[in-house]
Amino acid sequence: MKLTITGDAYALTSTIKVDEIELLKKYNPDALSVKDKDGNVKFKVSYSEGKGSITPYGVTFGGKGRGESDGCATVTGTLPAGLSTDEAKKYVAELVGGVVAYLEQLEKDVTKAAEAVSTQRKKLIDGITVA
Amino acid sequence: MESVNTIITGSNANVFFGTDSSPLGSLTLGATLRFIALKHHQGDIETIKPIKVMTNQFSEYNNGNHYAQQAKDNSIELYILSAPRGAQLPTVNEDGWASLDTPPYPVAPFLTTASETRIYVNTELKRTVIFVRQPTERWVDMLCSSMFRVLPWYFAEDMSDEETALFRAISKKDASTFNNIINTLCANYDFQAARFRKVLIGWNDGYRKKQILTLKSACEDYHRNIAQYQEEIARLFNKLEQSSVNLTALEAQGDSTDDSVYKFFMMHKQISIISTQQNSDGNVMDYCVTETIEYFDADEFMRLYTNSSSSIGRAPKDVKDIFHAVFAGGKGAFRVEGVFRLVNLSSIVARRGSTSGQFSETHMPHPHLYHHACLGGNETYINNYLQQGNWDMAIEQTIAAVKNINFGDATVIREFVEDVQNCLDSSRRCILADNGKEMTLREFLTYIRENHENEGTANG
Amino acid sequence: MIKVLVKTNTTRQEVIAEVTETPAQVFEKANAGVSGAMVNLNGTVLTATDLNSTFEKLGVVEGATVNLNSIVKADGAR
Repeated sequence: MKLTITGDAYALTSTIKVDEIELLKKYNPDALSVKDKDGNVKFKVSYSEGKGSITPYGVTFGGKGRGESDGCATVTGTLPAGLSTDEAKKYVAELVGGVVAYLEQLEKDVTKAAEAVSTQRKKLIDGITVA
Repeated sequence: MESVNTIITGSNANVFFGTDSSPLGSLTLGATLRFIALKHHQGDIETIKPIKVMTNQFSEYNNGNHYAQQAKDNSIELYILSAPRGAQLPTVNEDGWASLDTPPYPVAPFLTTASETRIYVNTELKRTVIFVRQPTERWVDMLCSSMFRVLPWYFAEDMSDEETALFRAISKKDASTFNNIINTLCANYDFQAARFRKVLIGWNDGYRKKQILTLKSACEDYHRNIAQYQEEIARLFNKLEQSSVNLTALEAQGDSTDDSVYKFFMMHKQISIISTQQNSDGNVMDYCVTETIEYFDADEFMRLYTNSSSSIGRAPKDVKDIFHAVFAGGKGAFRVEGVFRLVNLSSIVARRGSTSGQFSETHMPHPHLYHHACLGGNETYINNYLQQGNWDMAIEQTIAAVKNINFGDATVIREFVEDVQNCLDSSRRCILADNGKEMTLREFLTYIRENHENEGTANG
Repeated sequence: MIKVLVKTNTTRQEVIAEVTETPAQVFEKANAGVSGAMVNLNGTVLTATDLNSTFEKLGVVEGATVNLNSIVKADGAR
């Protein structure tokens, strides 16, 4: 996960790819959530183009990264006007602080889960015979 | 007779017999009567019945029959009544009573030689009543010597030699012989022992019988008390159950509900607070729910609408049209209000006959709640929610109650029809039409009729 | 994401949902039935159309916690 501030905007770029999110949303939505020991969902991630948000309950990524973060899920927002660099950093830290642990956990697991789904799908597709 | 001194009038015998040893002050009379009782008694001495003698002065205001009746009623075998000064001796003329004033037993004339006397004997009742001018000592001795005539039932068979000798001794004023005869008879009896046995026989029984009565009465009292306590216990169980429900509800709420209550009421626009107070029940709030009736059984409504005997079926045309437009046509909805009382977030009841006063221009009272304060099936859910601590769900259930009308309840529907009829020409904007406008009932009627015509024109 | 506190007469659950989801979808996730029920979102009674409208359209913003209650419609009586 990477946090950057550019001008009056901030951006959170995850290592999770948008494609992975969309794949898992369809085939294994549970893999996009963090649950407590009782199985209750505490945190989720999702993707909705152009409508990203960071809340205590989850992150909706709204964009895709470019360059070295090509295809990675991103969420951007605007900083309040007139903040110093330090203040801006603190603002973003405050915003993201509550979700960092959840996000990092998902970043560990989502890729594996997405790969498992892909493998399964490929196996399924390969197994279809066309008469 | 002087010098009478016998065992039969001694202290042990006195206690044993339990009667006056010297009626009219005469030991002779007392001893004679006891002698006769003893002589003619059969069975154990403990069961002897002394001859009951009573002495008194008669009243001039009572006749002789009165005293005869007294003797009968009070088991007085020998009733001796002396005369007040100057009074005439009464007579007894009731059937069964014979006067001893003529041969063969002229006892009265005999006694009259000592003092004017009238004697009446009833052998069937075994009672004797004597009226005497003044019972002197001489007269008493003469009476004693005549006792075999005065109490004839003891002497139905021949008199014994002892008795004959006794009466002769009295007539001769032979106290010594009198004493000897009596003492000889008494020598066979242990009055002290008999006295104890008489007192003690049945002693336990008397105690036992008394105790039985006492305990029976106590048992009845206990039964009554138990019944009362059982009613009280049942009543207390009910109160315990109610309190337990409330307790469960309160415990389930948890802490820090103040903020949530505020937020809840702020969010629910259809709820208005009428009043809040703190009293012995705790925090009490009356609130009002204003809603449109939307939950009902349309089929049930149509059954009533088409039934000319139902309250809707026989309602005036205007009312019928309004009902049809609302409940069948979906052209509008009734706006209604219901008032509830919330106590401590642990109980909710509907308030009968109550409106908030804030919505009289825009809402009708909800018929189920206003006329009967009955929540029907909602009540169970409300209580369950409260027990679980879900007071928010419970209050929302009251909203559902206000949105509901049960066409299966004929009484409530009849009252609703009457309410609508009474409201027909009022300015109360209690209909929310399907075009979003608030209307009075008349305005709504115009609206639906115009609509109907337009539809007809369009279709035509 | 929003947190939806779903309550019915038999269940109480917290569901994390997207604002693009609908109350009907959330009830389904929570295995809660709404048939014959009055549904209340933060105090507002939802119509049948509302049940299938997104939370966003119903005015719920990102990050909000909302109450979604399903109340059984019972009959009143005398």
